[in-house]
Amino acid sequence: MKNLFILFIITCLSLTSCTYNPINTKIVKGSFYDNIDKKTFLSRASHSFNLKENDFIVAATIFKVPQIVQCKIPLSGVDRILYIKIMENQLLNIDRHLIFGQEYLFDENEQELKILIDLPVIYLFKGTIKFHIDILALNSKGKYLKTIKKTIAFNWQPLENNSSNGFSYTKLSNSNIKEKRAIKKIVKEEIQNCDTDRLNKEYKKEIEVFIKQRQNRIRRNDYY
Amino acid sequence: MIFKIASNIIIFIILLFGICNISIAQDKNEKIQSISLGLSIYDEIDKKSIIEVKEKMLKNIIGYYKLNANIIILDNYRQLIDNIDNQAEVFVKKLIKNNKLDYLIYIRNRRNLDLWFDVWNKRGQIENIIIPYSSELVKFLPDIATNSFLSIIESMDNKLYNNKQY
Repeated sequence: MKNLFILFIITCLSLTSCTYNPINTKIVKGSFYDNIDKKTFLSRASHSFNLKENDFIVAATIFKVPQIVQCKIPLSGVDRILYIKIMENQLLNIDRHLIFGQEYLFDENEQELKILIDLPVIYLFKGTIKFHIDILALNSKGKYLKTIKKTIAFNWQPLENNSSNGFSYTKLSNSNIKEKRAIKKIVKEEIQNCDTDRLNKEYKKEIEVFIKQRQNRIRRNDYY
Repeated sequence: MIFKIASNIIIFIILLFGICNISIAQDKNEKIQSISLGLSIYDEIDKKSIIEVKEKMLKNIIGYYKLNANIIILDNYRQLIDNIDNQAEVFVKKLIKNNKLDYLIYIRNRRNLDLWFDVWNKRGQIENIIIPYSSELVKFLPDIATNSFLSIIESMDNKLYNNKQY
């Protein structure tokens, strides 16, 4: 009986120690826009390019994928960005909000918007992808809205390293690059992390056929 | 006999600690599978807008992150309108607990002077975005709210970007 009582006490103590989880009761009232880690944000991009304020459509050539690209857009007379949406309605069927601090920042002093665009291989499987960007901004007086529309096209131009010192490159076509073993591995990983129901049916099928392609058809060269 | 009982008790305790440790380890390693939100508004916000906010939030979370999401529309809570104090914190924590929420998201129109987009988390922390009010804003409200809430939730707990889907 005594043993059972001791066992009961030990059990209760064990369960209490395992489930106790104190709640932080402190109210944090911070300035939202000041709490963003700008250094981490900027370090994620491996390539950046500038748009002009009046540019409506721009095209950029990308040599290596996957990568995150930073687009710098000057926006004069803007006080605050209220939202940014990114859209693609041909292959990927993307229509979503970008997240402040992770995918865009607005530098009030430089009057420059910085947007990070993730470019996995599966976005550039046909060589070119075109994103539409919708921005709603508040002007400096804080009372008027400004809608800004941009279209950014990315053209993937793969390069192959043809020398041991890494300074000689050869341009490859998009179809040639798909013969590379490394690309197939990347595409396999990316597709597992993709909502494939959203993809254009033919585009999805093209990627699936590529993944199922027999290994011996793929050469062993590296790609750049 | 006593030795046998004692050894059984020791084995039982060891097993008990083992089970507890496994459950703790599972909690630590568990991937975030779902996010539960309670959405509420101040009276002066158009009721249609709140439905649109709900739909846009769901579309953005489920469609582009490896997360399930559910959003319940809560009553209008006047306790949250004016002051963010300890009383409000206690009230919100209770509300979050009773409705099994991860976040309480709240839109306030403060006398047509400014719009507040508040996010409270389970730990009783609050973060908000405040925008000067203008009549022009009304038609963009669902998108502004969606962007604000997603951005605040990410800044509080990094739950979204790390679970991003292509």
